[in-house]
Amino acid sequence: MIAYYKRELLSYFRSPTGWVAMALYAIISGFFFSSWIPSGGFDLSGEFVFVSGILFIVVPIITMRLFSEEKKTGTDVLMYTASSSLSGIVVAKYLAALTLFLLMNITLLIHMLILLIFGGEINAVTVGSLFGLLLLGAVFIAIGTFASATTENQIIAALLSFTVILLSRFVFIFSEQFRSITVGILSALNVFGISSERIASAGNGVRDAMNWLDPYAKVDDYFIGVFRIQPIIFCVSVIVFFLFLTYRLMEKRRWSQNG
Amino acid sequence: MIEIKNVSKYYGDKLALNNVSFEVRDGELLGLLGPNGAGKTTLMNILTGFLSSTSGTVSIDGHDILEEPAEAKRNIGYLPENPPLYPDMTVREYLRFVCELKKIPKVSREKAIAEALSLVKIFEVSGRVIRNLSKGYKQRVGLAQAIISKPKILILDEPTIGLDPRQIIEIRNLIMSLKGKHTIIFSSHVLTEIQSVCDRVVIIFDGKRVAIDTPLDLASRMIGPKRLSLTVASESEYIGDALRSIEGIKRVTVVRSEDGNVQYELLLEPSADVRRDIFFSMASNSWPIVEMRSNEPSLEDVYLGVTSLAERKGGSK
Repeated sequence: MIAYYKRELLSYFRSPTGWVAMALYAIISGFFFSSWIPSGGFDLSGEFVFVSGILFIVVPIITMRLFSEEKKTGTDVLMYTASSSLSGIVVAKYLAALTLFLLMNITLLIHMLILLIFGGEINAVTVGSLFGLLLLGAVFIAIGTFASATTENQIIAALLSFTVILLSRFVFIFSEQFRSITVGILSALNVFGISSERIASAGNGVRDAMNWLDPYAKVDDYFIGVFRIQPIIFCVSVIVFFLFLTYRLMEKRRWSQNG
Repeated sequence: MIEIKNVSKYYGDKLALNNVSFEVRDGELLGLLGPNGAGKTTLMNILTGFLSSTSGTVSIDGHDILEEPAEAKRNIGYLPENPPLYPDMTVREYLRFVCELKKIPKVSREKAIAEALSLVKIFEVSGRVIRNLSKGYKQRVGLAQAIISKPKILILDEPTIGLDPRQIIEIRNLIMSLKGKHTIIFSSHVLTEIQSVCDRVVIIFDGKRVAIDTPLDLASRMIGPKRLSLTVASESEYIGDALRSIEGIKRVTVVRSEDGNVQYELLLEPSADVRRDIFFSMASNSWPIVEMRSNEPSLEDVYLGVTSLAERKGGSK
C-alpha cells in the first residue's frame, strides 16, 4: 500500500501532470488574488470559494491516470498478482492524489501569509472557507478516482469526472427543474384527485432530496464561518462510497467473463 | 506442484479455455506451446490469479489460487507478455517498488535487488529511466521483477517475443540458468525454443490441451511412420522396383528428378532400419547413392500434425 502511495507521488512529479496541476492552480488562484486585493478585498474567503468552483478543471487532471493508465499499459497485472490487497491499493492511490491536492493548496497558504504581512486578518470565515474547499476537493478526488477506474482511456476518465464535478456545482438548478417537472407530471396525471398543496409538497420533496446530495450546499456553512460536523460525515461517506465502488470495479475485472 | 483441474474460461460466448487439466512437477521447465490466440495467455493469467476461471481449479502447492490467494501468489513470479513496467521510474526505483509490493523485508531488499540485477545482467542500467531502455533490457527488467522474491514458480509469457536473435539467445540462456532453482512455465509459439529448452511440452490449441509429453516422446508418438529421403545419381527406371522389393519399405515416391539425380521419398515400417539394405541393393546395380537422409520427426511436425488434427475435429463438429 505504501509502495503504491510513494510510486504515485513520484509519478506525479516525474511527469508533467503534477507540475501542470500545481501551476494551473497557482495561476487561477493567483489571478483572483491579485485582482481582488487591489480592489480593497481583505477577505480571502472569496478567493477560496471561487477556487472551489474551478475544482472541476483541476481534479480531473490529477485523478485521470490513477487507474486508467495501469490498465492501458498492463501494469495492473502487478496489482492483481502481488499478494497486497486491492482495497489498500485503491486507498493508496486516492491518498497520493489527495496529497498532491494538499500540496497545490500551499499557494493559498502563501496568499494568506501575504495578506497577514500587509495587515489583513485571518478569521473564522477564511479558515472555514479553506476547510470547505479542501473537503470538497477530497470528495471530488474520490469521484475522479472512480472515474479513472471505469476506463483505460485517460481522456474519457478526465471527461467523466469533469462532467460529474461540474454538474454537482449546479445541483440546485437541476433540483429546481425536477421540482417543476414533478409538479407538472403529477398535475397532468392527477387521477387520484390529489390537492395542489400536496403536489407542491411532493415537488419540494424531490427538490430537497436532490439538494441533499449537493456537496456545495453541504459545505456552505463553512464558507460563512460556521463549523458543523454533519458536512464532514457526509463528505467522508461519499469518499468511502466512491472508493468502495472503485475497489469493487477493480475486483470485478478479475471475475469478469467478458474479456 | 501446480495442479490445473478442468479449467474452462468463457469470454462472453467465446470459449477461450476448454476443460484444460495438467500438472506441473516441482523443478521442471514446462513449455506451453500453441498458435496465437490458442489460450496460452489466458491460462497463464488464470494460473497467476490475474483472472478467474469460469470453472475448474488451480492450486499452487496445495493452495487454491482464488481461495487462498495470498499464500498461492507468494510462490509465483509472473512475467506477462508486456512486462508490467512503469516507464517513469528508474530500474532501481522500480525494483524497490516491486520489493515493497511483494513484502520483501526491508533489511533484505537491497540484497534482493542486487541479486536480481546481476542475475539478469542489468547492473549497468540500474540508474536509468525505464522509458529509455531497449526492448531487450525492458524484458530483463520484467524478468528481474518476476524473480526478485525468489518465487518457487516462474511463469513467463512469451519472454522472447519481439526481441532480436541475439537477445533471444541471451534470454533463453537466462531461463536455462534459472532451471532447477524454480519451477518454470514458459509459453511460446516458437517451436525450436521450446524444443531446446523444455523438459515437457503442453500443446494448447483452440483452448484445449491437445498434447503433453517430453518433446522427443511427443515427436515419436505423434508422427507415426518414419521417412527416408534418398537421392540416386541414375535415372534408371528399375530403381523404384528394386527399392520396393526391400522388406520394410512401404511406399516409394519420386520427389523430383534433376541433372540425372533422382530423389525418392520412402515411407518405412515403424521399426525398420533399411539403410544397409538400400546401400547393397543400389551398389549391386551400380546406382550411386549421393544422399541418404532419415527425416527425424521434429516438434514442428508434431505441432503441425496435432493442430491440424484438432482443426479437422473442430471443423467436423
